[in-house]
Amino acid sequence: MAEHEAWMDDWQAMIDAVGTEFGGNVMAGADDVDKSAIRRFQEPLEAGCPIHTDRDAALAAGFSDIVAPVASFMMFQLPPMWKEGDAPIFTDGARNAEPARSAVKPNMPSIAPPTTAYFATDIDFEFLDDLVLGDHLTRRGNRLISCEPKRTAVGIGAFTKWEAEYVNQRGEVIGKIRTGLYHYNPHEVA
Amino acid sequence: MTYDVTKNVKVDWSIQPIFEDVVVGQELNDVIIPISVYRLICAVAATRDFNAIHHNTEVARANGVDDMYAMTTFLLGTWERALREFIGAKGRINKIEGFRMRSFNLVGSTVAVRGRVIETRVEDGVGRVDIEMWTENDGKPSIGPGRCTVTMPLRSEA
Repeated sequence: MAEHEAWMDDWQAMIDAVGTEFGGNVMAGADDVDKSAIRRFQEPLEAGCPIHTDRDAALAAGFSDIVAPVASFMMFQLPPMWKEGDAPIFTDGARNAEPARSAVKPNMPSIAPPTTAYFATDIDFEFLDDLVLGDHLTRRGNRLISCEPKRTAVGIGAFTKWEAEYVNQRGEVIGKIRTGLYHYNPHEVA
Repeated sequence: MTYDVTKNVKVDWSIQPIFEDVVVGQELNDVIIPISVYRLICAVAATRDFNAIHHNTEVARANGVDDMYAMTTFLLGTWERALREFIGAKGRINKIEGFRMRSFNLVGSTVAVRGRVIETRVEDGVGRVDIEMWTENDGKPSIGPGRCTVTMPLRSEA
């Protein structure tokens, strides 16, 4: 257990909320699962199993169609960065300017203290059914499982863990995930 | 410590590994992954994880990290690649647990994904294999060790 520091009190509301389903965090993927996205997902991995590119190979292996890699669930759940009718997101020409909104940035509840940085720390993933060509993936739920304030080498903040599930277009739960995150304010860079 | 990317095995996907041939203690083929800027940018586009810590050194440093580093989805994909190369086209990946990123896998480093069979069993007529997996960076575990559960075809099904 980390030694208590005053700033940790800012996280008490989150600690008290452990077990809460924050819900409202339904995240529908931008597109149906398609061959192009699967191929591009596999390229930097140099992952070559033909079940991800060749329908005949997928059928021969017992899948109903070309199947998406399980690791790509987290990509196919992402909503569009921007779509017609949205306000612009690229509004600042500074070299390192962030977009006004981000599909990948985790939605923290309003009771969490403000932080400027985050990264994922760990994952537990259960795959219950296949994600195949033409499917549409949605991530549903956002239950807070744990919250532990901690000072680390990169800053001060808290480790949190969240539970969600993946649902296809038929409403079938095809995956369950627990994701760990560290939200923090970086130490001042010398 | 350096890892030799030429040691990556070229898989013949026409050969389907069989559950009964798997033994406890058996090691998976290593998957060696050099993490260059070029590869990270490809991975950013492929995973749509546009968090600037994965493609912008200045932002990574402002966030307290030495350089840009590989994102979760890509790194999970490297475990999937190692598992898939072991279980073949007809295998299924059921669970990945304990995928804990202990340190940043920075650009300019090369990582090795490794695994070892820790349990085999037939459950309800299905051949299940539990595999301990981890990623090494410079000789030290940077991810895991985790436990993955996969299904492989029985000889009678292959």
